[in-house]
Amino acid sequence: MPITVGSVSGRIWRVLETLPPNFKEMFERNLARHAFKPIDPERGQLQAVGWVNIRQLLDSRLTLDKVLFRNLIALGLRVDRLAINQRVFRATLAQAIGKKLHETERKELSREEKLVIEDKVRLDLIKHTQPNTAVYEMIWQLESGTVLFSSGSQKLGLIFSDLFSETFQVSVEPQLPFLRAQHWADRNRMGQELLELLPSPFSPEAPVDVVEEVGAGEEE
Amino acid sequence: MGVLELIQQKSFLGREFLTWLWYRSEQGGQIELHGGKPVTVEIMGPILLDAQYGDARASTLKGESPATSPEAGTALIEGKKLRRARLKMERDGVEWVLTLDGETFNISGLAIPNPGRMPFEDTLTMRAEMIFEFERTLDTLFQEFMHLRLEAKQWPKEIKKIHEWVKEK
Repeated sequence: MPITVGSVSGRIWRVLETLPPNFKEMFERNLARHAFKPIDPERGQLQAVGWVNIRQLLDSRLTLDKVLFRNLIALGLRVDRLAINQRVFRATLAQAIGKKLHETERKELSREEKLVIEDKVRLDLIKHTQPNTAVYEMIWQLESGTVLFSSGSQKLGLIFSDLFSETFQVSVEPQLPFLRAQHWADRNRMGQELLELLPSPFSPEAPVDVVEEVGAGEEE
Repeated sequence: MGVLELIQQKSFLGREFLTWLWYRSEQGGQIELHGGKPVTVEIMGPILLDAQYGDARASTLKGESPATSPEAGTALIEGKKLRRARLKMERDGVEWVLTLDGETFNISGLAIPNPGRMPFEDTLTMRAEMIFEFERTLDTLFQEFMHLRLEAKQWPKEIKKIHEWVKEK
């Protein structure tokens, strides 16, 4: 669900480094570099990822004034994916191979010839297939270094964090429970205690061997 | 051990935190925080409980007040912990209603009041402030939990009280 309207969903991230003093110039440069560009079928691309204007997902001509709102950076992350229908692909390929055999009056094609036809069929289908488009949102509060990304998916999180790091030249970390606990433990010099921590039985009737079993699993 | 393995191994922390919030919410509501305003938590529903071991299945409880239902008590007795819950949190006059996942702390359905007709920048700033205020409150609560959880003398006492609470549910 989007951040800018309605109820909000997603995952909290935290920027791990301090921004350099000239971060605005760097942002402007890198936003253009990592703005969304459509899939290039000629290059056999099946996916395109990039930033877009959070207010207009078709606008990828990004300047700082479109993304910086007081102390917030707000951006859309657009992901376009092409998926070729495999049944259509196989049928089209069979047809193309049949046509080649007929033209050359042969009963069989070499492996190399088949691969060439396969690549051509795939490229033709890509060119004529509309991509699936998804847009996610992120807002980044610069002072606190806190970021909300509007998806909790692990896979999308990787795409997001890679693009974020490349664009803004800082690392970003998901605020999963253990990672929060680790930061707290490091600040309070209880890192070892955290590493040794085992689950507690919240039930008075939980069998003792359950806890031991988990402990044994960890030792393995 | 790598970070990913540690995250997996310690994934019980989020469930324990949620279950602890549930317990504390039924002890008079307010959770005092070191050096900060108290937080009131209410576990609404639906709630999802599961166990991380054995063949135990997950229990999803819905309805008017699943957290106080006999089924919730049964699930706790079986050793299940809260995996996901729709909950209400209030601090210093600000209220948030959302679903929180204990394993990832992913949020969903966080209700933000509609400010009406305002310039986009004002709307965005207001919404962002509410979201990040929630995050600060969640983080402070979690730190409070971790402080207790790693306290060698206090945590066993807390567990004993939790056991009494589970028995009475």
